[in-house]
Amino acid sequence: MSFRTVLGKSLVVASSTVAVLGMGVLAAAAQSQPPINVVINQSPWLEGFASIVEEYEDETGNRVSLDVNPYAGSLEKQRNAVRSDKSEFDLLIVNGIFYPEMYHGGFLEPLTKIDPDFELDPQIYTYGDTPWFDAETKTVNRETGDLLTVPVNPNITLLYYRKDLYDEKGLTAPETFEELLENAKLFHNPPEMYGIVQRASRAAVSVTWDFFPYINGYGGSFFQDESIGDYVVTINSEAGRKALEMYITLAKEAGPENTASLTQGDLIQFLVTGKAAHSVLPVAAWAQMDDPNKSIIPGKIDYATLPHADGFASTPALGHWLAGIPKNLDDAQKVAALEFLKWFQKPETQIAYAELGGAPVSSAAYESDFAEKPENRYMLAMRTASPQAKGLWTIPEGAEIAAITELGLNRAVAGEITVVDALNSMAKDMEKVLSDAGYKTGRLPDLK
Amino acid sequence: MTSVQLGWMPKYGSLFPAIVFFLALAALPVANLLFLSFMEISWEGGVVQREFVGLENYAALADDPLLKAGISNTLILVVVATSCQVALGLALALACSSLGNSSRLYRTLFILPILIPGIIIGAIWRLMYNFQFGIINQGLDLLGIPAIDWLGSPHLALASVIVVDIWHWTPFSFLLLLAAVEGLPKDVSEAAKVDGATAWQEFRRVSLPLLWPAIVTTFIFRAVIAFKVFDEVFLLTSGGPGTATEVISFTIYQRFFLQDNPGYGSAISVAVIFSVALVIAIALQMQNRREATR
Repeated sequence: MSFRTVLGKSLVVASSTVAVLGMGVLAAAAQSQPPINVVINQSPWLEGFASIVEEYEDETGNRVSLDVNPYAGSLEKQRNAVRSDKSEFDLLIVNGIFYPEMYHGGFLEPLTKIDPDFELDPQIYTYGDTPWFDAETKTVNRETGDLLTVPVNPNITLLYYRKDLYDEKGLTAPETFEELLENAKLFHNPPEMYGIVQRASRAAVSVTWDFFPYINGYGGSFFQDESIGDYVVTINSEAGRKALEMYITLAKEAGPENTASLTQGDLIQFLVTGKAAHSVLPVAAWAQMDDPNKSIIPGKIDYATLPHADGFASTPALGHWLAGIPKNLDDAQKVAALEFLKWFQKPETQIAYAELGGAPVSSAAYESDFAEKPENRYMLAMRTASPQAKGLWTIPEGAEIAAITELGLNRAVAGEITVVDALNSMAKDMEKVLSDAGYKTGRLPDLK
Repeated sequence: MTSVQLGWMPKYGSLFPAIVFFLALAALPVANLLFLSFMEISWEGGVVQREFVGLENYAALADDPLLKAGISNTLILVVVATSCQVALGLALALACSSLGNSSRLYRTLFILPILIPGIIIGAIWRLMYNFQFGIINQGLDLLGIPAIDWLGSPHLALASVIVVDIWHWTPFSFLLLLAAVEGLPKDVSEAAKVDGATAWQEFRRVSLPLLWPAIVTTFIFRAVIAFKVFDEVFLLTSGGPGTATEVISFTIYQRFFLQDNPGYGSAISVAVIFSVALVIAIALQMQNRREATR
């Protein structure tokens, strides 16, 4: 081997070594944070969230692993994590129905305690100011509370309806419950087509969430005035009766026989197989409607904000998701988790999140050109619906209240008990839960 | 040969490891459950708060509509499903035993359902029972029979769950009873046949009395397992519609875990443990008396 050959080979080896080492150094520099572990539930919006997480990993070199569980399993894992000496999860994706127990239990670290300069991006929707909690007054309060979470998914409910069928009949999206009933009956032709499919099964929170826009849409409520701590139970009001009667009338006159056992998955199945004209679903389900691999009706579903009774406002149910950081973590893990949230809430990330099939939480996405494209028509409905959405409750006894309403509403839909018996018994049981927990409560006189 | 007289120390000392295991694995968890059942547990500032509430949690059992429905449905499920499983298991065991070695394929097929995880069984049967798309209703449609709401009807849902439980657990009874049938002394049956007994008389007067202890044991084992039914209900109906398929394990799961009420959940658990133990003790006592009078 000549000297020149040896020299040449040595140079190649040396330069390769330098290149490999250099890449390693670059990768190490890019990965500025330790890996984080996120506990999240299996929902229709998971795919979009997982895609945006991949973007984060590609862009920053930081690693994020998702621990995906069914709804109740995710809640249980979160409870176990925050109650142990050290949480196994760095970021909790908390449901908008069960977040109060995380707040009241004092399990989440105020985000400004991790980084005093951290602020919620002004374009992020705040969904009833639920990211803030005042530990002194035990209330959700933007003015006096600590910022505990960042919204990650809007998940409010929209009316999904068959635009092609509406166009054929020259109809427009229903604005009132009466119009919805009329239109649903018009298309009801079982077993080929059901006028409406409703999520009336009993679960952790299922029929309660589906019914909530009805009682609010008739001017009723679960409690007298939660904002001032008045927890007198009002579910058994005249508005409650009208709402539940309408809910059951829709099921009986325009729904399948097994409405009382339908889950969210069933509703999506009905729509994508072209067997339902209407349904109320969280916004995240939109991605499956137009996917030709999952749907035989791509492009035929349109979206509207939920109907209401004459003289009252539309009230979609908030079932949004919030990301919080447990207190029982090392500081480095808290910082790493917050880094992800900082990146996630950026306007450009939110637009990318929408493009990847997610449901963004920023007006930056809903007001972007992307929202104007026909394939993203759900975003136009979201513009209207988002400011009108309302949460079910802000107290940690939500799980106990949900157990009562799930049972009572489901029994009424199944025909086990009457509307009046269901409302009166739910009111009585809710009052007991609230009274035992020390709230100022009571209940309306029983309906006759 | 001279015998060595051991003192009490080695005798009782040899039991020590077993006692430690029993305390660690059975007695302590139950004692902890008992302790929790007198408490109200909450969380404040990330710290657990325990408040002694005496018998309050036990007093609340009487007013719990879910628990009442759970007890009645569980009892129905235990009695109906276990009886059917033992009867079917015995019939299959007798049939397989009479076939001798040629029954091997059948034995393998019969035990398959018990090998499938509960979650898969739930998924399979939920699809089969599906009102709109399920294979059962599609089959009925071919016969001109209208679709039946197997899981959504309050009148049919529990029966549908029981059918799944029978399908899932009959192999358990089959296996236990097959061992008993194979262990029957052949000479007694042959003597009965020589004496002119018909097949039914031979079964009724000879085999059944000999198999009775095994049948009772199988029934008790199976009933104890059936009492704990959870996965099938969770996956098929979640206790609904209404309370049509609510069972005790599901009530405990909801009260203890979903509603995050460990005190009350523990009270239900303790009450159930002692009730089941009492039933088993009574059943065994009756069996022992029957044995003693024979």
